[in-house]
Amino acid sequence: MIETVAMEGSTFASVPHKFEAGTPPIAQAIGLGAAVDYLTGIGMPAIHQHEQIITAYALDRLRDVEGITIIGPDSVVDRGGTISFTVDGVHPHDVGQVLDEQGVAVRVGHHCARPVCVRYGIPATTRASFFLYTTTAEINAMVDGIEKVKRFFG
Amino acid sequence: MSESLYQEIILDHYKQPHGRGLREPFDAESHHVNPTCGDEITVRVSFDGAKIADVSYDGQGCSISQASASVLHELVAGSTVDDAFATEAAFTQLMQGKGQVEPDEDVLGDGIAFAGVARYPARVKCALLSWMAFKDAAARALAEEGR
Repeated sequence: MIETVAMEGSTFASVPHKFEAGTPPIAQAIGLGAAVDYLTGIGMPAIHQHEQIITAYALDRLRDVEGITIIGPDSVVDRGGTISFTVDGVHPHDVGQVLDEQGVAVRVGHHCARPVCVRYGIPATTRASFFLYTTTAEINAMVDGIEKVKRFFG
Repeated sequence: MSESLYQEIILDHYKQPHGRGLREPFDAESHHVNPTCGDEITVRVSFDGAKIADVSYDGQGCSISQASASVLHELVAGSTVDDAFATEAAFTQLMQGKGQVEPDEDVLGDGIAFAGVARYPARVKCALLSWMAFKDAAARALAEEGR
């Protein structure tokens, strides 16, 4: 941010404003407003309910897959719309890569929480995240994909 | 799917790694970590005159990083120092070649299986992890000897 601009030379505001140049994020502010309107229209309780249903369904499906260990609560109580898990004998980066090839997007790694991974004695985890647009068919695709991962590295 | 990334040779090295485990004696050791994913490797190098007597290693990580350490051992242990650095340079060039480099099997042996990995920018670092650790350890050992 400037203080005064002249053809002969300019002076600058004192720090920290000196380093905060440029147009403020106008488009982002309008986008945020639209997102809030969209979510309000659907209703946050409805979104929460959908997330709980999808997460419960995913927990049920993943629980039945041999070799999968679910990290954290075994039910939707005290759990948001994400599930971290490990696949016996397969590194999460390999799980993620093979799922990706099948069009299933998951995040893998420490999730900015390495001490938790150390606590559980695991190198990292695979993490599936759900939201209002996630369907049970997509959960099924992920479970099928995990079976393929196990066959591939087995 | 995945065939271009996970060649059978890579899976074989991952499931049955060659020369895995840290051994004594050694002239230098280097521990490298890929902070974005947590893969890690410790590499030890021991010299016998102008030859590399042994390259031993231990670590944890994805199949790419661990298989590449196995290939490193296979290619470099027992070779001359000059050949080892030439192999390292060829492997690095292959991995940084964005899939455009045609690998020379005479130089890289099983290392040519990693040609497909070069097309996955996020995984190049996995393949190079043990090689960077080797280069670091070897360079430091040579510097200490004043060579």
